[in-house]
Amino acid sequence: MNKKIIFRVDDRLIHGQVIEGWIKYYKINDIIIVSDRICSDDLQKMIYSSILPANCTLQFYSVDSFIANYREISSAKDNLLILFESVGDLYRVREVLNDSIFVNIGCVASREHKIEITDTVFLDKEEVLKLSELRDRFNILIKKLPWETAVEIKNFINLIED
Amino acid sequence: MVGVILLTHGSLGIELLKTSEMIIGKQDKVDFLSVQSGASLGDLAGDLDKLINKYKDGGVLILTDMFGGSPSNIAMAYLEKDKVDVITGVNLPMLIKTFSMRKDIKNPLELGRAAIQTGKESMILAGDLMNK
Repeated sequence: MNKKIIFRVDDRLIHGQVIEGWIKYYKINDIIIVSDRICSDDLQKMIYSSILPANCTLQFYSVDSFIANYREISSAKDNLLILFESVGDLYRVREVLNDSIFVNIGCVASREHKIEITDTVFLDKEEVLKLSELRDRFNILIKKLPWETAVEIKNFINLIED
Repeated sequence: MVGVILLTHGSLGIELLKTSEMIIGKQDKVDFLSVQSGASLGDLAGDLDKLINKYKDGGVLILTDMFGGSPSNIAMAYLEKDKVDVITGVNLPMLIKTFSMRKDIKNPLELGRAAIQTGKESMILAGDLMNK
């Protein structure tokens, strides 16, 4: 099987859906959290490191250092799960995206002025525009768990045209 | 008295509380918070902040449902505070024990240890009992 690189947007980062779903389904051993916020918070790093399943490794990168080190990061030989806290952070790293990367939008919490896409994904107008742009070029699926059917985003942009 | 906060996925916390009160009666100094699909964890952390502050005098034990789940991840961020401790894997016997021991154990860490011991001992495979 070819190595899989999964980019997932999930504002809860590592939690039940990720541990019971994605990590097990794709037999992930190496996880990366890309977040400026977590990188500067030792307590959060300790929490996420402590909840890893056995045999998993976890690394933390700021958004800029992730981009700078992506060539090396992506040369790992096993499947990789790379977690982002927001669509905005995913969009910031768009220059490293390519066809072989599988992009998953998993959990984006509801806030004011958000459009409900699924029961776990709520996006504002700017996020819809960013994803629509990325969707034209890359493989992006909206679903919380790997075995679920992804939500269709072909006519996604219509969501904000009202 | 140590406060108790049930912080779980969905309605597990409130149902555990209702069930335990069905067995041992109404409890004081207990609150619950629920993590729903699509809810903002930032808002939830704000609510948890307020509750922890409410119980700052006697301390607080936060009972969450699953280690590694978002309720326990949020709760663990408060471990550095004084008189706050967190249990993961809450079950009904553990919760009842926590309530009934609060009169005697004034420290959240000690209370948590007693609760977890009860929780572990409460899990029994009936088939193994029969084969003894």
